[in-house]
Amino acid sequence: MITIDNLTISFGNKEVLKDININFSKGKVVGIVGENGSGKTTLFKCIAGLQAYKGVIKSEYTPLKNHIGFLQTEPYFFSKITGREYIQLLCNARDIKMDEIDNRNIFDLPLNQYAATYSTGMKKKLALTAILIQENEMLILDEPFNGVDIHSNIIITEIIHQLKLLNKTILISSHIFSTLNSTCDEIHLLRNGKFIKKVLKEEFALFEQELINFTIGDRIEKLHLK
Amino acid sequence: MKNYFTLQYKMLNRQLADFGIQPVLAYLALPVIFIVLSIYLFQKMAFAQYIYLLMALSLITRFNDSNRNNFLKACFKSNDYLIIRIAENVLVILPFFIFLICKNYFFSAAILLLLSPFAALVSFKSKLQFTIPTPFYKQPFEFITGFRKTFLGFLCCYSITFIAIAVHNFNLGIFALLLNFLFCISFYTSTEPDFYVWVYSLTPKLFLIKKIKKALLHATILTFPAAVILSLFYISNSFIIAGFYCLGYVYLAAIVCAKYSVFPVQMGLPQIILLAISIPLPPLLIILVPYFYLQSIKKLGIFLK
Repeated sequence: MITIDNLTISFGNKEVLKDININFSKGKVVGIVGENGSGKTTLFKCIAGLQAYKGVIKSEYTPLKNHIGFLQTEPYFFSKITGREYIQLLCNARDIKMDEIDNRNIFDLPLNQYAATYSTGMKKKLALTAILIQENEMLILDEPFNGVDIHSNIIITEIIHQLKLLNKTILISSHIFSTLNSTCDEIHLLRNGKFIKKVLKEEFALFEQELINFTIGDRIEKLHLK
Repeated sequence: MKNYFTLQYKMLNRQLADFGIQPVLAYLALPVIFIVLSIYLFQKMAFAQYIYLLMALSLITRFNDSNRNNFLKACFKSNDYLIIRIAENVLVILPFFIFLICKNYFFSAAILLLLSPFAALVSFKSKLQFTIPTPFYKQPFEFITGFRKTFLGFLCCYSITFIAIAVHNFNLGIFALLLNFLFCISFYTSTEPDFYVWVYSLTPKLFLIKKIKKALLHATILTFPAAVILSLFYISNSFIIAGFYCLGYVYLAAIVCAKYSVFPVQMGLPQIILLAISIPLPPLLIILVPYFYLQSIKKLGIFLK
């Protein structure tokens, strides 16, 4: 269980996250949704320990950061490092003995090519493969489905299901509602740095309709499309 | 097009400010530094005009990044793109061109002026899919990426070592050895994204010690053969070689600590000035290394709790 109490973060005068209180239980997949700039990535960075904050983040793991696998929205790769070396680097950093890398290359990535030459989707799959091999207790997946092909989308969804069965704690942000629908147990809506709504699985359909109505409103009409 | 160059000017000012330099001061100091260094180069070296030519052309190639140029092509009409690229290149070579004219090297100046617009027309994107093998597989990234980017430099260093032996020039041999170390040091001049530090399950102290140990070990792989070859031919100077070798180690440890002393920010002018002062004054490293080390532990603590 990971508990966040009164988490607040400001950049200059702007409060990006305001008094966040939330729990993440083992074996649950939690979705975080919100507009661009609503604070999702900042929240993930705070949990991961990549961002200083006010408030408390408690967990049974000490330090928590050593048990987190963080898939960033746009993973960074050095210009002359191969996919294989990237996985090796991340495993060495956590003292994980890595064997049979080719067997675990489920996305069939060209591991001997430089990672920086990969497409957007391939980069995401490589970063995901590395954090899965790290065998973390908690996974933070910041837009894991972005730029990824349909086959890999299916594989990632299944991986999340398997991780849930293994009692891992999983946090996902996505802008594609169908992917959250098929993976999450609950969804939290973040707006202007605050959680304004918690939605359970049985309410997802209603929530999606509400989201569509709220988001679209009369915006399209304002465009006067001809 | 005017907007483009205004934007470039603003970006340059911001980069200078980020580097800790007042833009106005930089614009005043840069021409003076350029002239002083140019005069020094031409006084000290017989082939200065060729080095000068290479320096100017290497600066131009920095503008030939295919991603950057593809972006410009997408933004501007073909003619405007060409004018921008040629104008950029000519602006860059202009100080070199003027100095060559002043020194009466008209032929080199003409070559430079002709090559600069030509360089704007070609793109140097590598189509090579080949992965350069490295002995540093399974290790932190610095030597993997650094070696692949500069392996030709190491080949040059070893060639210079052999030339030094062939022409019985011990100083040239020492220069080649230090150049080897300089390449290794260059692997640590840019800062990695915080993720690559955060991912380690180590304390700041252990992380830094691991980084220094790996840096020294890997540098040994690349530099030790050169030192041994040189020692074999200059046995009586072995102590001098060992002395310079140890100095190379200390500078390597210093750059690793200096890099993390301001992490996650890129090394700035204060660190560079301190390291530059230590080149003519190596005893200063006795203070600098522990200072950078302690600062690094503090900065890394944010990411390696």
